[in-house]
Amino acid sequence: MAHGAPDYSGMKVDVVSRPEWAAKEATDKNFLGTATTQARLGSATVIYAVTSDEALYITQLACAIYATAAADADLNQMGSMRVYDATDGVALFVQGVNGGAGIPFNKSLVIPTGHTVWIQAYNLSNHNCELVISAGGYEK
Amino acid sequence: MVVREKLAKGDFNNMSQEPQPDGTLLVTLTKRRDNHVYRMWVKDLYKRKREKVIKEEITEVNDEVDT
Repeated sequence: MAHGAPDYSGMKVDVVSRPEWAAKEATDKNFLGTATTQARLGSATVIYAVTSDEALYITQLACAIYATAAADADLNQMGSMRVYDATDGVALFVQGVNGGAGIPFNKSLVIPTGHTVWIQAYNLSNHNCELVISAGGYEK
Repeated sequence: MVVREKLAKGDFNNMSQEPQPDGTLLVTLTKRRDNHVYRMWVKDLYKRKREKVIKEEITEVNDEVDT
């Protein structure tokens, strides 16, 4: 201890984001949905009913959309991803994409216990596509 | 119905869902510090009267799933 300053050498402090903290302290949750050869308006969907006594907090969302046929690979791969509370019938988040996207949420999407959530990627192209949707979050 | 119960209780960290050619949905669950992969093939998931689990499969893996 120098100059009378407290000895902090035994104390460790990590600065982490809330989602990162929650993934360790709460129940970490990751979801992945896939669908092959989807025509326009076809979707990849993950359905989950939050039936534990905890709420689901979605902190990140991503999707990938790519053409099924190689001949369509250089075209725009239009689509959208959304989080839909099927119990309330309310879309909580929708984003249009071309080929895919990923987004971390500064403010979590909350699915209350007892509610069913659909996490989806839609094909909005005029050709068949492969779809992948993923979401991350935690239950607490 | 071990896998269905795990899904109902939220007793997992990772879940994937993949439609199968036979019309079923393959649901795969894994959990940290649990060296098993839980799979079930289900029709009409969450549709109370029509939901039917076709098959369940629990596979032991060599290493703990820690993804």
